[in-house]
Formats: sequence, C-alpha cells, structure tokens
Amino acid sequence: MGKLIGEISISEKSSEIIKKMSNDKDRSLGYFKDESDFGRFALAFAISKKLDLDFDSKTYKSQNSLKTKWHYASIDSNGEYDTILKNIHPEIIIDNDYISALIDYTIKYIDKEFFQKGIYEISQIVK
Amino acid sequence: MFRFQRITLNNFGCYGGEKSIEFPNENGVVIIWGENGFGKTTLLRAILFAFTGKLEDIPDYDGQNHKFKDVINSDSWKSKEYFFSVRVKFIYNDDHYEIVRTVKKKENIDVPTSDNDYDVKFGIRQETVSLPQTDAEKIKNAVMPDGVERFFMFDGEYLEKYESLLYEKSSNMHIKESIERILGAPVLKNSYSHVCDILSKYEDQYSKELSRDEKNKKYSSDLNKLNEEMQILISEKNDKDDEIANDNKRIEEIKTLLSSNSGYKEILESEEMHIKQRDRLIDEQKRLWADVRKIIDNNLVSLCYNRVNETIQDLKSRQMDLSKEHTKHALFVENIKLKEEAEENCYCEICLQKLDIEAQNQLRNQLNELKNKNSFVLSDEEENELRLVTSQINNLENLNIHRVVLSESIYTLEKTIADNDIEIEKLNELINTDQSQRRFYESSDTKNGITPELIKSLTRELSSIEEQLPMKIRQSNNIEDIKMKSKNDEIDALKKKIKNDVSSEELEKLSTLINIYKDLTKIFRRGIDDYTLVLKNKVEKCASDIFLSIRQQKDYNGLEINDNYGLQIMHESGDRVPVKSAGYGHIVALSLITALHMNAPEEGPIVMDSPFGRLSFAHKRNVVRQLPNMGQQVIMLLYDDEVPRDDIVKILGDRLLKEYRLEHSYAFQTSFGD
Repeated sequence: MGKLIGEISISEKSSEIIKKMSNDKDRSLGYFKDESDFGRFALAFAISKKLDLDFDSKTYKSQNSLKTKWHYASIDSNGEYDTILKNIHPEIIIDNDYISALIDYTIKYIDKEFFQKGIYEISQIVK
Repeated sequence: MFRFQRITLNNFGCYGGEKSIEFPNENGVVIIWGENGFGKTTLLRAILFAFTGKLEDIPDYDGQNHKFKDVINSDSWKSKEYFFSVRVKFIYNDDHYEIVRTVKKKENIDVPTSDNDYDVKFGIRQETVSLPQTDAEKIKNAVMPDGVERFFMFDGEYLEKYESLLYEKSSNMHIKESIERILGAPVLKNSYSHVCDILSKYEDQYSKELSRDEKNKKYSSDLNKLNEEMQILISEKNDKDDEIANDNKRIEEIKTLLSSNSGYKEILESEEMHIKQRDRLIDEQKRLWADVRKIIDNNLVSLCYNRVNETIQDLKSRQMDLSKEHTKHALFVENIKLKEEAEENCYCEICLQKLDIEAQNQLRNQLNELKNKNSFVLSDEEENELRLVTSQINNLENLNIHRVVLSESIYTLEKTIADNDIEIEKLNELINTDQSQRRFYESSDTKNGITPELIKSLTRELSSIEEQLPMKIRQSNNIEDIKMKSKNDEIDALKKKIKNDVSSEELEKLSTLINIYKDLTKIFRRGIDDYTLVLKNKVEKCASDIFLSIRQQKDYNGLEINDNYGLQIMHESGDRVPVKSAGYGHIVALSLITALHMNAPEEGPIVMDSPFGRLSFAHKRNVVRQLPNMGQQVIMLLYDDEVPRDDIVKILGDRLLKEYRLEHSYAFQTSFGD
C-alpha cells in the first residue's frame, strides 16, 4: 500500500461552506491554519463518526464542479488517515477520488448538522 | 474700600449699542434676574474683561484666533461696527474712578479676520482726568491684583473649578499666592524685600568704608569677595524661585486649559483606554487561537482512536477465529505425519511398542480414513484473509494512536475565547460611541483649537513639570538652608575679626545698622510666616462659621484648612468627611470665597453668576441668608427658578438694595430693566 500523492479536490459548494464560515464568524477558521487544514479535520471527523460507511464513494457524485484543490500531503502528511482508511476498508480502493469524495461529503455533513444550527465550537462538533 | 457704581457695555455680546446699569452706594445685595441666554454670564465676562483684559471663558468658535468677533454684538458686526467696550465706574478709597477697555478695528483693516486686526486700549480716569498708564496699572492692580479676579467674580456653573482647588493637596502655589494677595500678605512680603534692599545698601557702605584705609584693604577685599559670593547665591536662589513660580504658573495654565476641555480630554482618554483594552484582548485571542490550533494539530488523529481501536478489536476477533482453524489443521497434519511414521516403522505412535499385523492393518485403515476426511484444511481464501487481517492489525497498531478527548482539551479555551469575543464586541461599541462623541466635539463650536495631540502634549508637559517641581523646591531650600547660611557664617566671622582689629566710629555705626536690619529681616521673615498662619486660622474659623450656618447635615461640625487653603469638612467624631456630594463641595467653595472676602484688608464687590445650581432648597435659603455677609457689595446674577424671588425678598429684607431684570427683545439685543 503506497502513500497517496497528488491533489484532493472539493466541490464548489463545500468550498463556499468553508469560506462562508470564515466570513461569518471569524471563528471556525480560527481553529485551523487554512482551508486545507479544515479538510484534514473533516477527514479525521469522517473516520471518527464512521461517515465513510454512510456513503458510497463510487456513486457519490457531488463533485460536479470541482473548485478547490489541495495537495494530499497538506492534508495527510504522515499518511495516517490513508493507513487507517486502507486498513478499515481493504476492499475499497482508497485513492484521491475517494478521499476527495469523503472530505466533500463530510464538509456538507458538518454544515448541515452543525453550522446551519449555529454550532461552530469544535468541542461540540467532535463530542 | 472698592465698590462698583456703574457698568456700561457697548456692543458687548447681546448688549447691542450702549447699555448701562447703576449700583446703589450702600452695603447690600443687588440681584439681576435673567433667563438662560439673556446675558448674565456675558455681563460677568464684561466686568472681568474690563479689569483683566482676559476673555478666557469665551471659546474661539472658529479656531481662527478671532474671539473678538464672537464678543462683538452680531447686529453691530452686520452694521460693520467692529468694536466693543466696557466701562466700569467704581469707588476706591473714597476716590472715584472709571476703568475703560476698548477693542476697535485697526484703521488700516477693512474687515477684521483675527484678533490681531484690532487695537485694544485700556485706561483709568480719576474723576475726569485720565491717569498716566503706569498709574492706571497701579490702581488696577490695587483693586484687582492679577489672579484674584476669580474670587471676586465667579460663574457658579464653573464652581467645580474652585472645588478642585480646595481639595487638592498639590502645591497649587499660584492659587495660594492669589489667596494671600487678597488677604494682604504681599504688604509684608514687599516690606521684607525693602528691608533686604536697605541691608544690602548698608553692607556696601560698610565695605567701602573699610577700604578707605590702606591697611584694611585685605579685609575689604575678603568681605567684598564673600558678599559677592553671597549675592551669587541669592541670585541663584532667586532664579530657582522664579523657575518654581513659572512652573506653578504653567501648571495652572495647563490645568485650566485641560479643565476647560475636560470633556474632550475625557473622551480621548476613554477612547484610548477602550482601544488599548480591545487590542490587548485581540492579542490574547490570537494567543488562545494559536493554543487551540496547536492542540488540534497535535491531537487530531486521536479523533480516530475509538474507530481504530474498535476495528482492531474486530480484526483480532476474526484473526482468532481463523487462527483456531489454522491450529486445528496443523494438529491434524501433525497427527497424520505421526501415524504415517508409525505405519512405516510398525510401532504404536502413542506407546511406541511394536505392532502386530492386525494392529498394523488397523493403523493403516485409520490413516486412510483420516486422509479421506481432511476436514481441517483452511481454504486459500481463509489463509489470505488471516494474513490480511494480521497485516491490518499490525498496520493499525503501528499508528500508535493515543486516546485524547479533544473536546475536553479545547473546551476551556473555547469558553475564554467566546467570553473575550463578547468583551471585544462591547469594547467596539464603546469605541464607536467614543469616536462619534469625539467627532461631534471636533466638528462642534466648542473645540476651541484643541487637538488630541495638543491634549496629549499638555498632559505630558504637566506631568513632567509636576515631577520635577519637588526637586527644584528642594534645590532652592538647599541653597538657602545650607549654602547661604554657611556663607553668612563666614561673613559674620570675618566681621567679628574686623571689629576686633579695626577701630572706626563710622564702621561701628554701619555695623550696628547692619545688625539692626538683619534682625529686621528676620522679624519680617517670621512675620510673614506668623501672619500667614494667623490669616489661615482666621479664614478657617470664618469659613467654618459660614459653612455651619449653611449646612443641613448637623453632624458636620466645621471645616479644617490646609497649607494651601484647601478646606476639608470635619465630622463631630473628629474624622475628615470625604466630600462626594457636588452640593457640599459647592457649599465649601462658597464658604471659602466668603471667608476670603471677610478677611481681605481691601473689601471689594463680589459678583456671582447662578451660584445656586446644585444646592438643595434648604441650602439655597441658608446661602441667601449669608449673602449680605459675603461682602459689602454683592451682585447676584440669577435665573428665575434658581431661587424663588419671594423667599429672597423675605429673607434679605432691606439688605436687598435693588433688582434688575434683563430684557431680551431678541437673540442679539438685551437691556437692563427694573
């Protein structure tokens, strides 16, 4: 199992969620150095909440309009999340498309379940 | 005695054209009634202007150094009458005088644009004769020495200016001097200075007399040298004292300027303080966010701890199942291997004894049965799965993820950040309010040329002068107490020697005179201190009596005076009462002013503009009762609701000499009516 390289992309909508969050509150991004750092959080959050089980990466089609691109290394420099996912789902091909889809799905999930309800505190989100 | 007879204003403020008001030549109270904006304060300013030439309380509305324009009656200005004047007829020591101060546009100026475009003239007439300028100045200084006007004519609305002086323990020497001037201390001080001059003259003569004889030249030269050194010390001390006096004057100037712009200063200080507080919080927020980010960064993967752990447990369970099958198969293979060896070597695989033919056949049958059964063999798929599961477990365990409850780690920081956010929001609102107030002040007419930079620079200058002043006072005292005293001892020792060695009648006479004048200087010096002490005690007693007659709080039993004529309310328990009530501050100020007037050697008129503002009804009545005691001529400028007129008439009786009412035909035209 080699480490992932290359780019991660998220949809325009997810990109807007991250941007809107930073404009609205000047808080959520306070938790993170930059947008890709938020992507890293989304990946860890997805694994912790088993969101990877909720969606089918093959049929997940939200990336109709790819907007933001991050280098994978900026999200998972040690390959920890890659290792976790590959060992949880040995049957699935964990590639950049999969990671992109999972991050995108998770950002939308966080928006729907927390941000839209006015919850921005990470301590509440990760509880 | 000094008393006003008539005041005539010409084009001064709302008094367009020439308007006069006469005052009775008897002791008592005159009241000038007028609503707000009718010209009471203008009248007070006009009198102050006549005697001092100052227009301090008039703001420079456009900031163009053109106060005179704001003084000239608006109708007159429109009619291009660019002048105004004030004349005050008064009696001083039974002589009749008229002081005149006129401000008029310079001949070569068409339309004045600043105060520099006017000629200001001041003069005093005695009866019908105009006095030479020096005599006019002398009379003016006699009736209203510089700096004392605030105790003769004051605006009740600004009474807090007096109150702050009263309670300050700081060395407000200028005010102290003004008070002592009213009380006549300068007479003694001038006499002391005069005696010093005579002493110095005799010391010169002594030295000259000594040098006449050739053999005494050495003594003469030594004495001259010592006297010269003494003069240097005196001049050094005088310079230091002048410096101290100038510093005190400057302190008062700055305080007056800051106090007249205290509102603006407060707004600036408030804005600066709120901005500092907010910026400090913003910095703290940055640090807190950095801490939060660090915690998240270091522990984000710990979010996956439960998931990974759970997965490892599942995998281990599967691994165990697969391993069991694997072990069974291994045992089975081992069993077959043992039986095959036993069959081949014809012995029992359990007891290792030689087998007979029958037993050999039985073993062979068992072996065939076993080989045919072969039920424990793992499929390739299972073998692969076991390998995969084992590798998954290893991979996940190698990540070495620790359990950290991220939510708990950052909750406290988040809470502090949220509290700080609220505080920052509040501070931003306060800053907005401060800024809009400041902008309003800066755009309004009250600004008077004051800028935030000027306020800051004045505040800095004030604190720097106040910081250095005690050192200068110590230096001055050091010159007098150590250096001058030691020099004096040297001079005395030399003179003693001369007295023993030189015999001259003239020198003897001069020496006696010098000793007499030296003693006199000591007497006057002591006299000044004693007189000041007596004055202070008299002022304290008098102010205390007046205070007791006005105050309603019966357990306040007097006032105590400090070295700078500051007064403190004393409680019957002997404790000092911290004055927090504006009304009581007001009463103490009135008590001091009255006490000063009652103890001044030269009694003068007292003019008060709206002095009852912050007093309760009962206190107002008590103050009205005291009015005739405040001075021989008391002129009150009151608005209608300040004190009920019926009460005043009833309380004052025949001590109410005359009442005037300011008549206001419109904004720019006031006159005196009965």
